[in-house]
Amino acid sequence: MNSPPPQEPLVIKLVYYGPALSGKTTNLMRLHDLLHPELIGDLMTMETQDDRTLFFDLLPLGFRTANGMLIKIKLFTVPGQVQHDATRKAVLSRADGVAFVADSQNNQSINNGESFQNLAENAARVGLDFDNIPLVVQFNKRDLSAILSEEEILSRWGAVPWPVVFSSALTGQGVMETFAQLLHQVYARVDKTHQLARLHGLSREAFIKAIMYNQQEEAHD
Amino acid sequence: MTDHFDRQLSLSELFTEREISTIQSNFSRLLGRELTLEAADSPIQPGYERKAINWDLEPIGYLLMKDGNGELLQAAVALLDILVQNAARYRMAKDIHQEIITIDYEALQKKHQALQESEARYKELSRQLKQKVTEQVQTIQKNQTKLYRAEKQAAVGHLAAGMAHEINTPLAYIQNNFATAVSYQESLQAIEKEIKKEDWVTLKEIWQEEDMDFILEDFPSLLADNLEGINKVAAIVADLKNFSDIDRTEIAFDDINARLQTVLRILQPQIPEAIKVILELEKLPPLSCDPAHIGQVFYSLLYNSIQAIEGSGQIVIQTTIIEGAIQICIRDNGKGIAPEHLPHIFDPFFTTREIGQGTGLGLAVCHEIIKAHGGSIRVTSEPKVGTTFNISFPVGQ
Repeated sequence: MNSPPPQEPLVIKLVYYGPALSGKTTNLMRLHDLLHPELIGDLMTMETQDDRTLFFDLLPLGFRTANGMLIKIKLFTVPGQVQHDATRKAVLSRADGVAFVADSQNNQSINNGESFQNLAENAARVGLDFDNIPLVVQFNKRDLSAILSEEEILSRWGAVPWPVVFSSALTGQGVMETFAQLLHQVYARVDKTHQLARLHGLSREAFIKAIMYNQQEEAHD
Repeated sequence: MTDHFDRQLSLSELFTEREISTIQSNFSRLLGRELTLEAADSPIQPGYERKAINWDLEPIGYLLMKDGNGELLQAAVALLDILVQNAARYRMAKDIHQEIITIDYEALQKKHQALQESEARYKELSRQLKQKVTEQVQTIQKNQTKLYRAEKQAAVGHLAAGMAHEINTPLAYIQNNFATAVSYQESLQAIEKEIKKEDWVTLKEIWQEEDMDFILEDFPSLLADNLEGINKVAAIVADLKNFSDIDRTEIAFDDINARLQTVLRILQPQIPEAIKVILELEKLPPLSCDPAHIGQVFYSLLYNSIQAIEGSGQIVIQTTIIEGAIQICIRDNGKGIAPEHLPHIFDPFFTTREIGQGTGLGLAVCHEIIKAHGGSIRVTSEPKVGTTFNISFPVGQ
């Protein structure tokens, strides 16, 4: 290769949004365990004494392309509690994609709705194009009993343009699928701005695989 | 604008120079070797073994060791990683806190600005409102003055017909008397001619012919009649002038009883003989008022009473003083007011008379005048029995 590898790493910021106690931090903890990219940092958490997220959680992931460019994915969570709205705005700023973690429990419909509304409003306030941002809706806590059925949820959320994933972050079910769905959309966006395929020979499948399964599969090979 | 909390941090943002030199000197002492902590963009120095200190998947700095011992260097890096992690945690928390404060402050400022704008808007509205009210009050006052004048002129108009008749009667006999006086003077001239001739016989004949005995007897009473007639006309004109003095609004101490009697005199020509007016007037203290306006009130009320009586009847006018207030009661036994009309009789332009017969302003103006004097007016009425107006004026100190 004649051209030297680009010095500036490509940083992709993904935000896990949602109402309080819906399992955003748990999603990141599971991802930390399940993902096997070339580079993965520790999960940095900032929480209050009762384990509620105070500012954010951060999990950095990354890999180098064939021509040496470092691609970093920074996963953030926002604090779900209503009073931390300014923090949510600060964390959501400059996001390249959002996973909305909803709570499947029967009594959480209003909180889910309000939090989603809050996401849309804050996206507009920090200058994100909410209609075009990569977004996945995850209905978490499927392992609990007092929850809305999938039919009920799909009857309310099925019409939205975003994929809806059912999960149990506690057991890990649906966590990877949510993340994969998000990466799927994020690739299109980043490919448009950074020409991943043309300049770096990185296809969508290679991109997703490099982030999710790289070392694990290498280990199995 | 503060730095974004999620930016790539550098070594100098995590540690102060003093912290870096403390780290270097203590690691050197612990390991018994010279150790150097360098920023990520430092050039490679020959003769040193170096290992990256990573933060956020990238080298944030390098640890350099003089006498290479991979194991010791690795241990030092592991310890430094923990220091970096904690410093980064602190730095990011500090930065996002700063961002949050800025966001909150901006939101607060926006709210404050919106509040100030709305306050300014309300101030402006209130100013406009005040101005509008002032304008409206001025318009109302101007219109009210016009109404007073219109009502007064209507009243003067009513009076004109009666007054013409009242003045005509004395004028007629004054005219007549003067015609007679002219013929008397002709007789006197004929007598004078005979006196100059000194023809006493003819003089005596002419004296009888001209009936000079009667002339001499009649002339003084004729002159006296004329004088009386002229005085009568003068009195009417004075009363009329007094009553129609619209524009002179002066506050004076007025005798209410005398005022009532003046108004009655003016109205006298319009009172049919079948209507009896009974006065029961007690001695009253003088009232500080606008006499012309008070006169108009009495005129309107008495005029209404006269109109209310069809055929014969009576009007009773009583004055008295109760608890320091002058009470005036005007009672007629006329046709009365229908109960459905009673609540409206003080409303402007309310009239039951035919078009052209009443302005509908008489009682409204009365009400306004009495109110302006701090007084009150009440009405009770029963159809076919009569109507009573009770007016009360507090007597000022």
